[in-house]
Amino acid sequence: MVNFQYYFDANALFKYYHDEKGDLKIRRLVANAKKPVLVSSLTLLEYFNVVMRQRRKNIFKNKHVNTVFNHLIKDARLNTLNHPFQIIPVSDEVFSVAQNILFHYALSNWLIRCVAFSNF
Amino acid sequence: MERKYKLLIVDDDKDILTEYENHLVKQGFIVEVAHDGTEGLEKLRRDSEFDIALVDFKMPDMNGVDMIRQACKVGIAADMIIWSEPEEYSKYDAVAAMKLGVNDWFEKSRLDMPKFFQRIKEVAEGVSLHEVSRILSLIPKEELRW
Repeated sequence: MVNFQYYFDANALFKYYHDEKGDLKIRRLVANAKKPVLVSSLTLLEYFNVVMRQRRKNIFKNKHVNTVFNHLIKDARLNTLNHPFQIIPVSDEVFSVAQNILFHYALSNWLIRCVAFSNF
Repeated sequence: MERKYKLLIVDDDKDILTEYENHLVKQGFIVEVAHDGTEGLEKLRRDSEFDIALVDFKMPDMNGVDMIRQACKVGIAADMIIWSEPEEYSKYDAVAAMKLGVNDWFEKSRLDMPKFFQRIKEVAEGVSLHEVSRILSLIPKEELRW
């Protein structure tokens, strides 16, 4: 039997917690997995970012944020055996590269928009 | 995968440790024990897998509240329940425990076992997935484009 482990991106992780199309499939997959599902610490960062944005917009109260985060903390651990999600830590270098890509992408998008504007 | 909760019992009474370790294993928990506060702290520090710790209040090296205070300082995420004999603690200890976020306090000599185990399970499980889902449903749809 093939001994594999699933990996979730931010979209899949969010579907696990959020009632939307595909959530049952994702939850079933997690429930039936033989090993914890791998999640990058960068993915957690994306998830936290979405939640904190709702706090800044006053859609979430502090207690909502605490509930969501506490639940995730209970579900995801490093080197876990008994939790649904296993966090893959990334090194500072990888984090820095990801940050640069993000800035580069944001900047290039901004430039494209500037050029598009100037053509009007 | 089947979700199993990992629990640490911290108590200086060996008979209690053995008895409750057996009970809680039968309830489906993965159980480890520590014989005093120092050992309890060390185990919680070394292993981030613990979901919950059941901590005796009166121990020779430190009391349960002090142990939990130290655990909070080093960022241990496990939930905590204290248990003690009724005459061992004051209301100030109970208030200090509340301020530290201790989830519950039981008196050993007045334990209602089914309720006690049920409460341990509730604390270990935390908020339901349904509740998290309800909160996340407040997020506007346009915010969820990945």
